[in-house]
This record gives sequence, C-alpha cells and structure tokens, in this order.
Amino acid sequence: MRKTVNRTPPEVALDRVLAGLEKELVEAADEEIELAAQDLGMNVRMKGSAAFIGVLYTFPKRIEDIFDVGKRPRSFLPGGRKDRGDDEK
Amino acid sequence: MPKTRSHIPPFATHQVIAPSHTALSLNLVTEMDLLRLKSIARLHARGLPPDVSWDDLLQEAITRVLTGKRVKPEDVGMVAFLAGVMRSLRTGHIRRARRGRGRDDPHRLGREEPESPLEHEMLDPMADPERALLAADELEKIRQLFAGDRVALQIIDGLAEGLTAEQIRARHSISRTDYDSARKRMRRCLIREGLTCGRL
Repeated sequence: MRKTVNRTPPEVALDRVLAGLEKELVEAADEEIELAAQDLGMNVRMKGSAAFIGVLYTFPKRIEDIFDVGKRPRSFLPGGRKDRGDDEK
Repeated sequence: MPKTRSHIPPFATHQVIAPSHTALSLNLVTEMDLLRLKSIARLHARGLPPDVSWDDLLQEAITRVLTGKRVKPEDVGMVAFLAGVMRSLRTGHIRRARRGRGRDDPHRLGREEPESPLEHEMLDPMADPERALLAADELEKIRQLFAGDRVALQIIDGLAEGLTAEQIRARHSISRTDYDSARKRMRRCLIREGLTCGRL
C-alpha cells in the first residue's frame, strides 16, 4: 500500500511537465533536431522537407478539406428524411 | 446577380501567407527555430480542446508578436519568448473551455481571473473533472513516450510534482552525467514526436 497520496491535480501536473519539457526543447541544439529528423527519415536541409509541414508548408489536403462530408443534409443520406427525427433516437 | 458563398467553387484556392513564413522572411526566426517551435507547439497542444490544433497555437503566437500585441524583452530569445506566448495561449484556451461549461467562473467564485498557474491551482483545481481526466490521460501519454527509460520517467514524475533538477537528482540519487544523458534522450524523443506530420 502506498504511504503517500499524490494530491497534485492532473492539470497542474501536466502544466508543470509541459513547462519543464518546453525548456528542454527551447535549448535543443540544431544537431539534435537534425538527428531526430534523421530518425524519421527526414532531411531538414532538403527543400520541401516533410518536417516543415504545418510550419512552412500546408497540410496535405484531405477529402473533408474539400467537401463537407460531415455536413450533408439528412435528405441526401440513403433513405433519409428531414422529418424523421433521428437525433432523438 | 449578388455574389454569395454558393457561387465560389469549392476548389477555389487563395494564397495565404502563414505568419511563420513572415517571421522567417523577417529573420525573426531561423528554419531550425521553426522546427523547435513546432515541437513546442505540439507539446502545448496536449490536453487542449479538440478544436485547437498545435498549428493554431504556433501561428497565433507568431501573429501576436508580429502585430505587436506581445513585445519581446531584449534579454529573451525569440524561441523562448514564443514558447511563453504559446503557454499563455494554452492557459487561455483551457480557461475558456472551462467557462464554456459554466465551471471555474472567477466571477462566480468572487475572485479576479487567476494570473498564474499557481493561483489557478489554488482557485479550484478539481473544478472540472472532465479536463482533469483529459490531463491525466495526456500525462500518461507523455510517460509512455519514455517507457523503459527509468531516469526519464523519474524526471517526468519530478517535474509533475514541481521539483527542481537538483531535487530530482537528490531524491533518486541520479548523477549529473546520467541526468544530462536522460535529458538528451528526452529532447531527441520529443523532437521526433514534434516533427511528425499529423495534427495530433
């Protein structure tokens, strides 16, 4: 049986951990970034490297970026009718 | 005929220059800095509401610096400053998410809005069980990143308890060399995690 009970709320603990790890990343050397990228098969010196996705390059397009796949009117769904009240079920 | 949104073809594209591009072209940051910031943004996006992604955090932080809403002190590096802005944005998002559910309302509790995480802790740390559960889950995910690395896990647990590096080393009798080696392994793991391409 544990002698002590950890009373630190998870949100506070997470904040502390993130702050501590943030400091590590701020201090990370360029070489460490290059090595970590190499682990993933990325070459950060290469133009268009996937490492820069979301930072310098946009995310690859997904079907939901082009079409409103999640917002089709209910009447378009097979056998769907607007007045069926599926939400209540 | 009036132009409405329905007349815009769904495949229409428009060039938007991301704030990170602007920061790079203004030499505020280097490409390597952007990768550091990407890793930090992915870290701070943990436990945030699902509608806030890491790139939102990063681009918003850069925008605030570019527009002068946040002014960088001279003695602080740009990466460290932007990391601080992202941390602050994260706190704001969590606070808004709590308010959205009617909990943790500072007015209801008769207090001003908490300024620091410590004050936040004192206010009502368990006000939102759902967020507490999410935070515990994210903490576990972070621990899993270092599964099998005893010293790294001791560091994580120490950080969670608010211990300093010296206190963690003393508690577990970790030599300075072992501690620094573990930090190096952790950095590499975190950067690897940060450079992956998903939205989390």
